[in-house]
Amino acid sequence: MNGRLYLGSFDYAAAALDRACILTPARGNPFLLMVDGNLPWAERLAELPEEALRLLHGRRRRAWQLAPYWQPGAADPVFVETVSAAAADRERAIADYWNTPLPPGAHLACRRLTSAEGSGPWLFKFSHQLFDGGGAELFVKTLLRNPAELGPGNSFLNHPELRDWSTKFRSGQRVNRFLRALPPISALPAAAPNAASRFRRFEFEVAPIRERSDRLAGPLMLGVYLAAVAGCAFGELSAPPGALLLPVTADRRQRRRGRGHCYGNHWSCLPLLFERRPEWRFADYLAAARVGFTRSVSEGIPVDFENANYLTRIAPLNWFAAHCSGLFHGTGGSLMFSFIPDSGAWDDAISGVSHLPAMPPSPGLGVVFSQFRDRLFLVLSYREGVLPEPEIEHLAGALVRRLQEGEA
Amino acid sequence: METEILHALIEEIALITGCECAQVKPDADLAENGIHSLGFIELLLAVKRRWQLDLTGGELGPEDVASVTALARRIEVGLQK
Repeated sequence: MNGRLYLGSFDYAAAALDRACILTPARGNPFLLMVDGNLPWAERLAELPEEALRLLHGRRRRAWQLAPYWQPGAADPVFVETVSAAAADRERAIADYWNTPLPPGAHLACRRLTSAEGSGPWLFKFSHQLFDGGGAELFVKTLLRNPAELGPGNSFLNHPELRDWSTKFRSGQRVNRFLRALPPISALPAAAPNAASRFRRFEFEVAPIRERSDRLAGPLMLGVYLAAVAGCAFGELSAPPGALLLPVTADRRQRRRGRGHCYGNHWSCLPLLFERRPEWRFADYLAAARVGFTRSVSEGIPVDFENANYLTRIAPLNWFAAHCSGLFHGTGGSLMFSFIPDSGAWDDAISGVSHLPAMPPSPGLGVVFSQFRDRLFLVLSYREGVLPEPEIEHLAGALVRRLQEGEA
Repeated sequence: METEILHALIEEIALITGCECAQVKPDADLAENGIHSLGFIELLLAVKRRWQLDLTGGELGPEDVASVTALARRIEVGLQK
């Protein structure tokens, strides 16, 4: 293996993101999947088969000669608890749980909030070291329907395609060429690694937003429309000069046959670049988003990011993180963006599923949408200190206004 | 011709969503068949690659994606122009 090819092919942004997540106070940058429902979740969790418990308490291993793989650990109990929180204190209770580290070695914990007014949501806390949002949804669905499927056959990180090193190195080189060719990015100063995660949550009826999206962006382009909404809202901030880069998370879990049931982290990225011109209105952001999505998919960039991302999982991270810390700031992007459209495919007994992702210190700010049947959830997630609170208020107001009223 | 296009579309949708061709419902809308923004762009690019018909510029209306069959019909009309 040519040494330059090898070093040049790592996805530095993903490696530094990985490292930044580990260093956050909640360790592994956990995210919450909030589920409203009256099913006996605790009993289901207590009845998890031994193999599933061992998988959940294992750890990710790296080796030069092997694909990254998951080593099952001791079958400790899953952490399930019920906590009483008055309805008025529910958001604070969610935030406290979100910012609490997962128990050592654990990648999943669960808490049910109850109050005198009735039972609240179930909060599933996942480590981003092991799960992405789509994988977490898939995992909980399987838990609900058939926990016996959570055996070693449905693996986390041991798919044979992960050993296709030639493809991965080529993808890594393309990712690096792409990163090096980026113009200067409007990136917020990175938040302190120990800064707490904060959030604002909003809920909308999806029908009028989809109608507007169909009319302005074309049918089935809700993700593109929402990315334009996020870009336009960020563009109004007094952020540093430069182009806007939205690392759009891309779930490619089902894009290849036989991979539809992988719960593990399939992080991939569709980098969406906006010029930042003062005269730009929403229609300009929308046109740029449409072109950006199409070009990115056409050039295979999300595929390359997915493949290169696996390379970083075998990197010696302590050394690697130091090497790429300077690079990461510019390539972490301006604002992370995610849209999870598939949450509606849940059992009837569940009345709502939404995601609450924590942002790593850089970019420290993210806009995440998830759709559950006729509801659209918006989470503005940020690290304390990444922006002054009035700017956060302004950003939240701009997002809500645009979603409720459309183009002025 | 429309049948051939429909079969090819079903193959592409199955590839994109990771399901079997038999699971794709020709009369259901694309969203019900698991196609959302990213997948739809992949599908339009596949149409461009296979039939040299560019529909990525916003030419489609909601009626064109009301079902896989409707999209096949729209492609056929596009090819006849």
